Amino acid sequence: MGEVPELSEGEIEVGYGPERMWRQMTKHIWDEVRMRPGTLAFQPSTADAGMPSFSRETKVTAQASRDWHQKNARSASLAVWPIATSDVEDTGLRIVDDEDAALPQGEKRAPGHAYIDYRGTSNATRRDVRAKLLRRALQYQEEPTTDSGFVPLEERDEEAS
Amino acid sequence: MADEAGERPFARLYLSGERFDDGRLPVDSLAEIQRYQAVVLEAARREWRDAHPDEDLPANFDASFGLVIAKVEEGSADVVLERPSIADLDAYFERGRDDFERELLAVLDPTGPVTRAPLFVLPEFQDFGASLGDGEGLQVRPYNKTLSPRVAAITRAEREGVLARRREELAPEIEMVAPEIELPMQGVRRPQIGAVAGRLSELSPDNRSFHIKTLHYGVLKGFYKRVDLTEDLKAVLDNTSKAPVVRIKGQLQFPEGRRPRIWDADDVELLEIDGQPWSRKLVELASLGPDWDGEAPGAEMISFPALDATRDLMLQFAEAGKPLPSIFGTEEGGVSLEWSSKESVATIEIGSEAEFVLYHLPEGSENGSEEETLDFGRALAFGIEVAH
Repeated sequence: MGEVPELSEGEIEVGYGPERMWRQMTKHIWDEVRMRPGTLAFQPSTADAGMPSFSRETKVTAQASRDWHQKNARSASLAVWPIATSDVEDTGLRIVDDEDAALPQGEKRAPGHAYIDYRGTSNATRRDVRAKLLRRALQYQEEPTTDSGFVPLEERDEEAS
Repeated sequence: MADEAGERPFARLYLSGERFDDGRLPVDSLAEIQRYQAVVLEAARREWRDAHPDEDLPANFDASFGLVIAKVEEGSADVVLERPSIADLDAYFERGRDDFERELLAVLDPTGPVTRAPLFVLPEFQDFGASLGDGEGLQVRPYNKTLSPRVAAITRAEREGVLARRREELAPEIEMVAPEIELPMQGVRRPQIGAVAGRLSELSPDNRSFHIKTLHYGVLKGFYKRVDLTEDLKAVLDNTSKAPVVRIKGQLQFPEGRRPRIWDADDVELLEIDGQPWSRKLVELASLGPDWDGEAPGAEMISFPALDATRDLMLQFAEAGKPLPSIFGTEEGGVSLEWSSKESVATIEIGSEAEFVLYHLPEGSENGSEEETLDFGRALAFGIEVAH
Protein backbone atom coordinates (compact mmCIF):
# COMPACT_ATOMS: atom_id res chain seq x y z
CA MET A 1 0.00 0.00 0.00
CA GLY A 2 1.23 3.52 -0.74
CA GLU A 3 1.33 6.37 1.68
CA VAL A 4 -1.97 6.91 3.49
CA PRO A 5 -2.84 10.62 3.55
CA GLU A 6 -3.41 12.46 6.81
CA LEU A 7 -7.02 13.15 7.60
CA SER A 8 -8.18 16.69 7.01
CA GLU A 9 -9.54 18.97 9.70
CA GLY A 10 -13.06 17.88 10.60
CA GLU A 11 -12.50 14.28 9.48
CA ILE A 12 -12.51 11.38 11.96
CA GLU A 13 -11.90 7.66 11.54
CA VAL A 14 -15.08 5.80 12.41
CA GLY A 15 -13.24 2.78 13.82
CA TYR A 16 -14.04 -0.89 14.23
CA GLY A 17 -17.61 -1.76 15.10
CA PRO A 18 -20.97 -3.14 14.06
CA GLU A 19 -22.33 0.15 12.72
CA ARG A 20 -23.70 -0.25 9.22
CA MET A 21 -22.89 2.04 6.31
CA TRP A 22 -25.40 2.62 3.52
CA ARG A 23 -24.30 2.38 -0.11
CA GLN A 24 -26.55 3.68 -2.90
CA MET A 25 -26.76 1.37 -5.91
CA THR A 26 -26.92 2.99 -9.33
CA LYS A 27 -27.46 1.37 -12.71
CA HIS A 28 -23.83 1.00 -13.80
CA ILE A 29 -22.92 -1.01 -10.68
CA TRP A 30 -26.19 -2.95 -10.53
CA ASP A 31 -27.19 -6.28 -12.10
CA GLU A 32 -30.80 -5.62 -13.06
CA VAL A 33 -31.48 -9.29 -13.81
CA ARG A 34 -30.21 -10.71 -10.53
CA MET A 35 -31.17 -7.53 -8.63
CA ARG A 36 -27.89 -7.17 -6.79
CA PRO A 37 -24.71 -5.11 -6.98
CA GLY A 38 -21.40 -5.99 -8.58
CA THR A 39 -17.96 -5.58 -7.08
CA LEU A 40 -17.66 -2.16 -8.69
CA ALA A 41 -20.24 -0.93 -6.18
CA PHE A 42 -17.62 -1.12 -3.45
CA GLN A 43 -14.62 0.44 -5.14
CA PRO A 44 -13.73 4.05 -5.86
CA SER A 45 -14.71 5.69 -9.12
CA THR A 46 -12.99 8.29 -11.27
CA ALA A 47 -15.25 10.93 -9.74
CA ASP A 48 -14.62 10.28 -6.04
CA ALA A 49 -10.80 10.45 -5.97
CA GLY A 50 -10.37 7.18 -4.09
CA MET A 51 -13.09 7.94 -1.55
CA PRO A 52 -16.34 6.14 -2.39
CA SER A 53 -19.31 7.51 -0.47
CA PHE A 54 -21.38 5.83 2.20
CA SER A 55 -23.76 7.12 4.89
CA ARG A 56 -23.59 6.21 8.56
CA GLU A 57 -26.44 4.26 10.12
CA THR A 58 -26.05 6.17 13.39
CA LYS A 59 -26.62 9.50 11.64
CA VAL A 60 -29.16 8.85 8.90
CA THR A 61 -31.65 6.16 8.02
CA ALA A 62 -31.26 4.16 4.83
CA GLN A 63 -34.48 5.75 3.59
CA ALA A 64 -33.33 9.32 4.27
CA SER A 65 -29.99 8.65 2.62
CA ARG A 66 -31.72 7.34 -0.47
CA ASP A 67 -34.13 10.28 -0.55
CA TRP A 68 -31.20 12.72 -0.41
CA HIS A 69 -29.43 10.84 -3.20
CA GLN A 70 -32.47 11.01 -5.48
CA LYS A 71 -32.56 14.79 -5.18
CA ASN A 72 -28.85 15.48 -5.40
CA ALA A 73 -26.85 12.78 -7.19
CA ARG A 74 -26.14 12.38 -10.89
CA SER A 75 -27.98 9.10 -11.30
CA ALA A 76 -30.86 7.36 -9.60
CA SER A 77 -30.45 5.08 -6.61
CA LEU A 78 -32.01 1.70 -7.36
CA ALA A 79 -31.49 0.22 -3.89
CA VAL A 80 -29.57 0.63 -0.64
CA TRP A 81 -27.18 -2.09 0.54
CA PRO A 82 -25.25 -2.08 3.82
CA ILE A 83 -21.80 -3.09 4.97
CA ALA A 84 -20.47 -2.83 8.53
CA THR A 85 -17.56 -0.62 9.53
CA SER A 86 -15.86 -3.77 10.86
CA ASP A 87 -16.04 -5.27 7.35
CA VAL A 88 -14.03 -2.33 6.03
CA GLU A 89 -11.52 -2.34 8.88
CA ASP A 90 -11.02 -6.10 8.42
CA THR A 91 -9.69 -5.40 4.91
CA GLY A 92 -7.03 -3.10 6.32
CA LEU A 93 -8.65 0.09 5.07
CA ARG A 94 -10.35 2.74 7.18
CA ILE A 95 -13.69 4.45 6.98
CA VAL A 96 -13.68 8.18 7.52
CA ASP A 97 -16.53 10.43 8.67
CA ASP A 98 -16.03 13.78 6.91
CA GLU A 99 -19.37 15.36 7.74
CA ASP A 100 -17.66 18.25 9.56
CA ALA A 101 -14.86 18.79 7.05
CA ALA A 102 -14.81 21.87 4.83
CA LEU A 103 -16.54 21.57 1.47
CA PRO A 104 -15.46 23.24 -1.78
CA GLN A 105 -17.84 26.03 -2.70
CA GLY A 106 -20.90 24.87 -4.56
CA GLU A 107 -20.56 21.23 -3.53
CA LYS A 108 -22.94 19.29 -1.31
CA ARG A 109 -22.36 16.40 1.03
CA ALA A 110 -24.91 13.80 1.97
CA PRO A 111 -26.13 13.67 5.57
CA GLY A 112 -24.08 11.23 7.66
CA HIS A 113 -21.47 11.09 4.90
CA ALA A 114 -18.43 8.87 5.27
CA TYR A 115 -16.01 7.30 2.82
CA ILE A 116 -13.80 4.26 2.51
CA ASP A 117 -10.27 5.55 2.22
CA TYR A 118 -8.82 3.80 -0.82
CA ARG A 119 -6.21 6.51 -1.39
CA GLY A 120 -2.75 5.14 -1.94
CA THR A 121 -3.94 1.59 -2.57
CA SER A 122 -2.89 -0.57 -5.53
CA ASN A 123 -5.27 -1.99 -8.10
CA ALA A 124 -4.72 -5.42 -6.57
CA THR A 125 -5.76 -4.17 -3.14
CA ARG A 126 -8.85 -2.52 -4.60
CA ARG A 127 -9.85 -5.73 -6.34
CA ASP A 128 -9.43 -7.68 -3.12
CA VAL A 129 -11.26 -5.20 -0.90
CA ARG A 130 -14.22 -4.73 -3.22
CA ALA A 131 -14.70 -8.50 -3.56
CA LYS A 132 -14.63 -8.99 0.21
CA LEU A 133 -17.10 -6.17 0.74
CA LEU A 134 -19.45 -7.52 -1.93
CA ARG A 135 -19.35 -10.96 -0.33
CA ARG A 136 -20.30 -9.43 3.01
CA ALA A 137 -23.01 -7.29 1.45
CA LEU A 138 -24.54 -10.36 -0.19
CA GLN A 139 -24.73 -11.92 3.26
CA TYR A 140 -26.60 -8.87 4.61
CA GLN A 141 -28.77 -8.32 1.50
CA GLU A 142 -30.63 -5.14 0.64
CA GLU A 143 -31.82 -2.71 3.31
CA PRO A 144 -35.51 -2.14 2.50
CA THR A 145 -36.35 1.38 1.30
CA THR A 146 -38.89 2.91 -1.02
CA ASP A 147 -38.12 5.03 -4.04
CA SER A 148 -39.16 8.65 -3.65
CA GLY A 149 -38.30 9.24 -7.31
CA PHE A 150 -35.14 10.52 -8.92
CA VAL A 151 -35.21 14.23 -9.69
CA PRO A 152 -33.54 14.85 -13.09
CA LEU A 153 -30.70 17.37 -12.99
CA GLU A 154 -32.52 19.87 -15.18
CA GLU A 155 -35.55 19.90 -12.89
CA ARG A 156 -33.71 20.61 -9.68
CA ASP A 157 -34.36 23.69 -7.69
CA GLU A 158 -31.48 24.96 -5.57
CA GLU A 159 -33.76 25.66 -2.63
CA ALA A 160 -35.52 22.33 -2.85
CA SER A 161 -32.27 20.44 -2.53
CA MET B 1 -62.17 7.29 -47.52
CA ALA B 2 -62.69 7.75 -43.84
CA ASP B 3 -66.20 7.73 -42.56
CA GLU B 4 -66.54 9.31 -39.15
CA ALA B 5 -69.47 8.11 -37.05
CA GLY B 6 -68.98 9.65 -33.64
CA GLU B 7 -66.85 8.78 -30.59
CA ARG B 8 -66.90 5.28 -29.22
CA PRO B 9 -65.34 3.57 -26.18
CA PHE B 10 -61.90 2.19 -26.87
CA ALA B 11 -60.11 1.31 -23.64
CA ARG B 12 -60.06 1.74 -19.87
CA LEU B 13 -56.95 2.32 -17.80
CA TYR B 14 -57.53 1.82 -14.10
CA LEU B 15 -55.09 3.51 -11.71
CA SER B 16 -55.20 2.48 -8.06
CA GLY B 17 -53.57 3.93 -4.98
CA GLU B 18 -54.10 6.88 -2.65
CA ARG B 19 -53.09 9.45 -5.23
CA PHE B 20 -55.96 8.35 -7.43
CA ASP B 21 -58.67 8.26 -4.78
CA ASP B 22 -61.96 9.92 -5.71
CA GLY B 23 -61.12 9.82 -9.38
CA ARG B 24 -58.17 12.22 -9.16
CA LEU B 25 -55.67 11.95 -12.01
CA PRO B 26 -52.24 13.39 -11.14
CA VAL B 27 -50.62 15.18 -14.07
CA ASP B 28 -47.62 12.84 -14.17
CA SER B 29 -49.98 9.92 -14.75
CA LEU B 30 -50.78 11.36 -18.15
CA ALA B 31 -47.44 9.93 -19.24
CA GLU B 32 -48.93 6.44 -18.86
CA ILE B 33 -51.80 7.33 -21.15
CA GLN B 34 -49.34 8.76 -23.68
CA ARG B 35 -47.30 5.56 -23.52
CA TYR B 36 -50.42 3.49 -23.98
CA GLN B 37 -51.36 5.59 -27.00
CA ALA B 38 -47.88 5.31 -28.55
CA VAL B 39 -47.72 1.52 -28.24
CA VAL B 40 -51.26 0.92 -29.52
CA LEU B 41 -50.73 3.30 -32.43
CA GLU B 42 -47.53 1.52 -33.44
CA ALA B 43 -49.26 -1.86 -33.12
CA ALA B 44 -52.09 -0.57 -35.31
CA ARG B 45 -49.61 0.64 -37.94
CA ARG B 46 -48.06 -2.81 -38.03
CA GLU B 47 -51.49 -4.43 -38.41
CA TRP B 48 -52.26 -2.14 -41.33
CA ARG B 49 -48.90 -2.80 -43.01
CA ASP B 50 -49.38 -6.56 -42.62
CA ALA B 51 -52.71 -6.25 -44.43
CA HIS B 52 -51.33 -3.92 -47.12
CA PRO B 53 -47.73 -5.03 -47.68
CA ASP B 54 -47.22 -3.05 -50.89
CA GLU B 55 -48.87 0.18 -49.84
CA ASP B 56 -47.86 3.25 -47.89
CA LEU B 57 -49.62 3.97 -44.63
CA PRO B 58 -52.58 6.32 -45.26
CA ALA B 59 -51.60 9.91 -44.61
CA ASN B 60 -54.43 10.32 -42.13
CA PHE B 61 -53.69 7.11 -40.25
CA ASP B 62 -52.04 8.55 -37.12
CA ALA B 63 -54.47 11.46 -36.90
CA SER B 64 -57.38 9.05 -37.22
CA PHE B 65 -56.47 7.34 -33.99
CA GLY B 66 -57.64 10.48 -32.15
CA LEU B 67 -57.64 9.00 -28.67
CA VAL B 68 -59.28 11.22 -26.02
CA ILE B 69 -59.88 10.95 -22.28
CA ALA B 70 -63.68 10.87 -22.23
CA LYS B 71 -64.02 10.77 -18.46
CA VAL B 72 -62.31 9.74 -15.24
CA GLU B 73 -64.68 7.73 -13.09
CA GLU B 74 -64.53 7.60 -9.30
CA GLY B 75 -63.47 4.66 -7.19
CA SER B 76 -59.87 5.12 -8.04
CA ALA B 77 -58.93 6.82 -11.28
CA ASP B 78 -60.77 4.81 -13.92
CA VAL B 79 -59.79 6.50 -17.17
CA VAL B 80 -62.17 5.92 -20.05
CA LEU B 81 -60.57 6.43 -23.46
CA GLU B 82 -62.59 6.98 -26.61
CA ARG B 83 -61.80 7.60 -30.23
CA PRO B 84 -63.74 8.65 -33.29
CA SER B 85 -65.11 5.78 -35.29
CA ILE B 86 -63.62 5.74 -38.78
CA ALA B 87 -64.97 2.74 -40.64
CA ASP B 88 -61.94 2.00 -42.82
CA LEU B 89 -59.49 2.08 -39.95
CA ASP B 90 -61.31 1.03 -36.76
CA ALA B 91 -60.32 -2.62 -37.08
CA TYR B 92 -56.60 -1.83 -37.19
CA PHE B 93 -56.70 0.33 -34.07
CA GLU B 94 -58.73 -2.30 -32.23
CA ARG B 95 -56.36 -5.06 -33.31
CA GLY B 96 -53.46 -2.90 -32.20
CA ARG B 97 -55.12 -2.44 -28.82
CA ASP B 98 -55.70 -6.18 -28.49
CA ASP B 99 -52.12 -6.94 -29.56
CA PHE B 100 -50.79 -4.71 -26.80
CA GLU B 101 -53.11 -6.18 -24.17
CA ARG B 102 -52.16 -9.72 -25.14
CA GLU B 103 -48.43 -8.96 -25.19
CA LEU B 104 -48.57 -7.06 -21.90
CA LEU B 105 -50.27 -10.00 -20.23
CA ALA B 106 -47.62 -12.37 -21.52
CA VAL B 107 -44.73 -10.14 -20.47
CA LEU B 108 -46.11 -9.66 -16.95
CA ASP B 109 -46.94 -13.33 -16.42
CA PRO B 110 -44.18 -14.60 -14.09
CA THR B 111 -44.94 -18.28 -14.68
CA GLY B 112 -43.42 -18.74 -18.08
CA PRO B 113 -40.80 -17.47 -20.52
CA VAL B 114 -41.75 -15.19 -23.39
CA THR B 115 -40.12 -16.00 -26.70
CA ARG B 116 -41.78 -13.42 -28.91
CA ALA B 117 -43.05 -9.96 -28.04
CA PRO B 118 -42.65 -7.69 -31.06
CA LEU B 119 -44.02 -4.59 -29.32
CA PHE B 120 -41.69 -4.95 -26.33
CA VAL B 121 -38.90 -3.20 -28.24
CA LEU B 122 -40.81 0.07 -27.94
CA PRO B 123 -39.44 2.31 -25.18
CA GLU B 124 -43.01 3.27 -24.31
CA PHE B 125 -43.83 -0.39 -23.66
CA GLN B 126 -40.83 -0.89 -21.39
CA ASP B 127 -41.59 2.37 -19.55
CA PHE B 128 -45.29 1.59 -19.14
CA GLY B 129 -46.04 1.94 -15.42
CA ALA B 130 -42.80 3.81 -14.66
CA SER B 131 -44.67 6.67 -12.94
CA LEU B 132 -46.28 4.37 -10.36
CA GLY B 133 -45.36 4.84 -6.71
CA ASP B 134 -45.26 2.24 -3.98
CA GLY B 135 -48.63 0.63 -3.42
CA GLU B 136 -49.95 1.88 -6.74
CA GLY B 137 -51.20 -0.16 -9.64
CA LEU B 138 -52.19 0.23 -13.27
CA GLN B 139 -54.61 -2.05 -15.06
CA VAL B 140 -55.42 -2.21 -18.74
CA ARG B 141 -58.97 -3.45 -18.75
CA PRO B 142 -59.84 -5.25 -21.97
CA TYR B 143 -62.86 -4.52 -24.11
CA ASN B 144 -62.42 -7.69 -26.04
CA LYS B 145 -62.89 -10.16 -23.19
CA THR B 146 -62.95 -13.13 -25.56
CA LEU B 147 -59.44 -12.39 -26.70
CA SER B 148 -58.06 -11.18 -23.37
CA PRO B 149 -60.21 -12.53 -20.53
CA ARG B 150 -57.60 -11.49 -17.98
CA VAL B 151 -56.71 -7.99 -16.83
CA ALA B 152 -53.11 -6.88 -17.37
CA ALA B 153 -52.14 -5.40 -14.02
CA ILE B 154 -48.84 -3.69 -13.22
CA THR B 155 -47.55 -2.71 -9.80
CA ARG B 156 -44.39 -0.87 -9.02
CA ALA B 157 -43.04 -3.75 -6.95
CA GLU B 158 -43.14 -6.33 -9.72
CA ARG B 159 -42.53 -4.11 -12.69
CA GLU B 160 -38.75 -3.67 -12.64
CA GLY B 161 -37.87 -7.28 -11.93
CA VAL B 162 -40.23 -8.69 -14.53
CA LEU B 163 -39.19 -6.25 -17.22
CA ALA B 164 -35.51 -6.86 -16.60
CA ARG B 165 -35.99 -10.60 -17.00
CA ARG B 166 -37.97 -10.09 -20.18
CA ARG B 167 -35.27 -7.87 -21.62
CA GLU B 168 -32.83 -10.74 -21.20
CA GLU B 169 -35.22 -13.33 -22.67
CA LEU B 170 -36.20 -11.17 -25.58
CA ALA B 171 -32.74 -9.80 -26.30
CA PRO B 172 -32.35 -11.46 -29.72
CA GLU B 173 -35.68 -10.07 -30.86
CA ILE B 174 -34.87 -6.65 -29.50
CA GLU B 175 -31.64 -6.79 -31.46
CA MET B 176 -33.37 -7.63 -34.70
CA VAL B 177 -36.49 -5.52 -34.53
CA ALA B 178 -35.78 -1.92 -33.75
CA PRO B 179 -38.81 0.34 -33.44
CA GLU B 180 -39.48 2.71 -36.29
CA ILE B 181 -41.54 5.34 -34.58
CA GLU B 182 -41.57 8.76 -36.13
CA LEU B 183 -41.22 11.24 -33.31
CA PRO B 184 -41.26 14.98 -33.91
CA MET B 185 -37.93 16.69 -33.33
CA GLN B 186 -38.64 19.55 -30.97
CA GLY B 187 -37.33 21.48 -27.99
CA VAL B 188 -33.90 22.77 -27.13
CA ARG B 189 -31.04 21.09 -28.94
CA ARG B 190 -27.77 20.52 -27.15
CA PRO B 191 -25.01 19.55 -29.58
CA GLN B 192 -22.27 17.41 -28.08
CA ILE B 193 -19.71 14.81 -28.96
CA GLY B 194 -21.15 11.40 -28.29
CA ALA B 195 -21.88 7.97 -29.67
CA VAL B 196 -24.78 5.74 -30.53
CA ALA B 197 -24.72 2.02 -31.21
CA GLY B 198 -27.06 -0.08 -33.28
CA ARG B 199 -27.53 -1.85 -36.59
CA LEU B 200 -26.36 0.02 -39.65
CA SER B 201 -29.12 -0.56 -42.16
CA GLU B 202 -28.71 1.83 -45.05
CA LEU B 203 -26.02 3.98 -46.63
CA SER B 204 -26.50 6.80 -49.12
CA PRO B 205 -23.01 7.91 -50.25
CA ASP B 206 -24.42 10.59 -52.56
CA ASN B 207 -25.86 12.67 -49.73
CA ARG B 208 -23.52 11.26 -47.07
CA SER B 209 -26.24 9.85 -44.88
CA PHE B 210 -27.09 6.53 -43.29
CA HIS B 211 -29.72 4.87 -41.11
CA ILE B 212 -28.98 3.09 -37.88
CA LYS B 213 -31.46 1.06 -35.80
CA THR B 214 -30.63 1.76 -32.18
CA LEU B 215 -31.70 -0.04 -29.07
CA HIS B 216 -32.92 3.02 -27.21
CA TYR B 217 -34.07 5.46 -29.87
CA GLY B 218 -35.38 3.39 -32.76
CA VAL B 219 -34.25 4.30 -36.28
CA LEU B 220 -32.01 7.34 -36.54
CA LYS B 221 -30.86 9.08 -39.67
CA GLY B 222 -27.25 10.21 -39.54
CA PHE B 223 -25.07 12.46 -41.64
CA TYR B 224 -21.34 12.85 -42.10
CA LYS B 225 -18.93 15.26 -43.77
CA ARG B 226 -15.75 13.15 -43.94
CA VAL B 227 -15.60 11.80 -47.50
CA ASP B 228 -13.45 8.81 -46.51
CA LEU B 229 -16.04 7.68 -43.97
CA THR B 230 -18.05 6.34 -46.91
CA GLU B 231 -15.42 3.64 -47.41
CA ASP B 232 -15.43 2.78 -43.70
CA LEU B 233 -19.21 2.46 -43.67
CA LYS B 234 -19.22 0.41 -46.87
CA ALA B 235 -16.59 -1.90 -45.44
CA VAL B 236 -18.72 -2.48 -42.39
CA LEU B 237 -21.82 -3.13 -44.46
CA ASP B 238 -19.94 -5.55 -46.73
CA ASN B 239 -18.51 -7.38 -43.75
CA THR B 240 -21.65 -9.31 -42.96
CA SER B 241 -24.80 -10.46 -44.72
CA LYS B 242 -27.14 -8.87 -42.19
CA ALA B 243 -27.13 -5.35 -40.81
CA PRO B 244 -24.03 -5.11 -38.60
CA VAL B 245 -23.95 -3.62 -35.12
CA VAL B 246 -21.76 -0.54 -35.12
CA ARG B 247 -20.91 2.35 -32.90
CA ILE B 248 -21.01 5.73 -34.58
CA LYS B 249 -19.10 8.54 -32.91
CA GLY B 250 -19.42 12.21 -33.73
CA GLN B 251 -21.46 15.35 -33.24
CA LEU B 252 -24.88 14.49 -31.86
CA GLN B 253 -27.83 16.71 -31.13
CA PHE B 254 -30.20 15.81 -28.33
CA PRO B 255 -33.59 17.47 -28.78
CA GLU B 256 -35.02 17.79 -25.28
CA GLY B 257 -36.66 14.51 -24.31
CA ARG B 258 -36.50 13.18 -27.85
CA ARG B 259 -34.31 11.01 -30.01
CA PRO B 260 -30.81 12.23 -30.79
CA ARG B 261 -29.79 13.25 -34.29
CA ILE B 262 -26.40 12.27 -35.66
CA TRP B 263 -25.36 15.54 -37.16
CA ASP B 264 -21.80 14.75 -38.17
CA ALA B 265 -20.44 11.24 -37.76
CA ASP B 266 -16.67 10.94 -37.89
CA ASP B 267 -15.89 7.39 -36.82
CA VAL B 268 -17.46 3.96 -37.09
CA GLU B 269 -16.61 0.73 -35.25
CA LEU B 270 -17.97 -2.74 -35.94
CA LEU B 271 -19.18 -5.02 -33.14
CA GLU B 272 -19.80 -8.62 -34.08
CA ILE B 273 -23.02 -9.48 -32.30
CA ASP B 274 -24.71 -12.82 -32.11
CA GLY B 275 -28.31 -12.50 -30.95
CA GLN B 276 -27.71 -14.15 -27.60
CA PRO B 277 -29.39 -13.31 -24.26
CA TRP B 278 -26.41 -11.14 -23.29
CA SER B 279 -26.23 -9.29 -26.62
CA ARG B 280 -28.53 -6.52 -25.47
CA LYS B 281 -26.22 -5.79 -22.55
CA LEU B 282 -23.28 -5.58 -24.93
CA VAL B 283 -25.13 -3.13 -27.15
CA GLU B 284 -26.02 -1.11 -24.05
CA LEU B 285 -22.37 -0.94 -23.06
CA ALA B 286 -21.38 -0.07 -26.64
CA SER B 287 -23.92 2.76 -26.49
CA LEU B 288 -22.35 4.49 -23.49
CA GLY B 289 -20.84 7.83 -24.44
CA PRO B 290 -17.83 9.62 -22.95
CA ASP B 291 -18.22 10.23 -19.21
CA TRP B 292 -21.01 7.70 -19.61
CA ASP B 293 -23.37 10.40 -20.62
CA GLY B 294 -22.78 12.60 -17.57
CA GLU B 295 -23.38 9.94 -14.93
CA ALA B 296 -19.75 8.87 -14.47
CA PRO B 297 -17.37 11.79 -15.04
CA GLY B 298 -14.02 10.56 -16.30
CA ALA B 299 -15.36 7.20 -17.48
CA GLU B 300 -14.13 6.06 -20.89
CA MET B 301 -16.28 4.56 -23.62
CA ILE B 302 -16.28 0.77 -23.48
CA SER B 303 -13.82 -0.53 -26.05
CA PHE B 304 -14.93 -2.87 -28.82
CA PRO B 305 -12.00 -5.27 -28.22
CA ALA B 306 -13.28 -5.67 -24.65
CA LEU B 307 -16.83 -6.22 -25.88
CA ASP B 308 -15.61 -8.73 -28.50
CA ALA B 309 -13.74 -10.67 -25.82
CA THR B 310 -16.81 -10.54 -23.57
CA ARG B 311 -18.99 -11.95 -26.32
CA ASP B 312 -16.55 -14.77 -27.05
CA LEU B 313 -16.25 -15.71 -23.38
CA MET B 314 -20.00 -15.65 -22.83
CA LEU B 315 -20.55 -17.93 -25.82
CA GLN B 316 -17.99 -20.40 -24.53
CA PHE B 317 -19.45 -20.38 -21.01
CA ALA B 318 -22.92 -20.99 -22.40
CA GLU B 319 -21.72 -23.81 -24.64
CA ALA B 320 -19.98 -25.40 -21.66
CA GLY B 321 -23.25 -25.25 -19.72
CA LYS B 322 -21.74 -23.01 -17.03
CA PRO B 323 -23.65 -20.38 -15.03
CA LEU B 324 -23.26 -17.07 -16.79
CA PRO B 325 -21.61 -14.13 -15.04
CA SER B 326 -23.03 -10.66 -14.51
CA ILE B 327 -21.67 -8.10 -16.97
CA PHE B 328 -20.57 -4.59 -15.94
CA GLY B 329 -18.77 -1.83 -17.78
CA THR B 330 -15.66 -0.45 -16.11
CA GLU B 331 -14.72 3.20 -16.06
CA GLU B 332 -11.41 2.35 -17.73
CA GLY B 333 -13.29 1.31 -20.89
CA GLY B 334 -13.33 -2.40 -20.16
CA VAL B 335 -15.78 -5.01 -18.92
CA SER B 336 -16.02 -6.93 -15.66
CA LEU B 337 -17.57 -10.42 -15.69
CA GLU B 338 -18.58 -11.47 -12.20
CA TRP B 339 -19.83 -14.56 -10.40
CA SER B 340 -20.74 -13.65 -6.84
CA SER B 341 -22.53 -15.15 -3.86
CA LYS B 342 -22.41 -14.78 -0.11
CA GLU B 343 -19.71 -17.46 -0.12
CA SER B 344 -17.36 -16.53 -2.93
CA VAL B 345 -16.56 -13.98 -5.62
CA ALA B 346 -14.78 -14.44 -8.94
CA THR B 347 -14.19 -11.84 -11.61
CA ILE B 348 -12.66 -11.61 -15.05
CA GLU B 349 -11.73 -8.01 -15.71
CA ILE B 350 -11.29 -7.40 -19.41
CA GLY B 351 -9.22 -4.31 -20.22
CA SER B 352 -9.77 -1.99 -23.14
CA GLU B 353 -7.15 -3.88 -25.18
CA ALA B 354 -8.68 -7.25 -24.25
CA GLU B 355 -6.12 -8.02 -21.56
CA PHE B 356 -7.41 -10.00 -18.59
CA VAL B 357 -7.15 -9.85 -14.81
CA LEU B 358 -8.50 -12.99 -13.15
CA TYR B 359 -9.51 -12.70 -9.49
CA HIS B 360 -10.93 -15.32 -7.14
CA LEU B 361 -12.01 -15.05 -3.50
CA PRO B 362 -12.91 -18.66 -2.61
CA GLU B 363 -15.43 -19.83 -0.04
CA GLY B 364 -14.18 -19.67 3.52
CA SER B 365 -11.01 -17.82 2.58
CA GLU B 366 -9.80 -14.29 3.21
CA ASN B 367 -7.02 -14.71 0.68
CA GLY B 368 -7.99 -13.69 -2.83
CA SER B 369 -5.82 -14.70 -5.79
CA GLU B 370 -5.08 -12.54 -8.79
CA GLU B 371 -3.55 -13.31 -12.16
CA GLU B 372 -2.90 -11.11 -15.18
CA THR B 373 -2.85 -12.62 -18.66
CA LEU B 374 -3.18 -11.77 -22.33
CA ASP B 375 -4.23 -15.35 -23.07
CA PHE B 376 -7.90 -15.72 -23.94
CA GLY B 377 -7.69 -19.47 -23.38
CA ARG B 378 -6.44 -18.95 -19.84
CA ALA B 379 -9.28 -16.52 -19.08
CA LEU B 380 -11.76 -19.03 -20.47
CA ALA B 381 -10.34 -21.89 -18.41
CA PHE B 382 -10.43 -19.72 -15.29
CA GLY B 383 -14.07 -18.79 -15.91
CA ILE B 384 -15.09 -22.41 -16.44
CA GLU B 385 -13.31 -23.37 -13.24
CA VAL B 386 -14.82 -20.68 -10.99
CA ALA B 387 -18.31 -20.27 -12.50
CA HIS B 388 -21.02 -20.73 -9.91
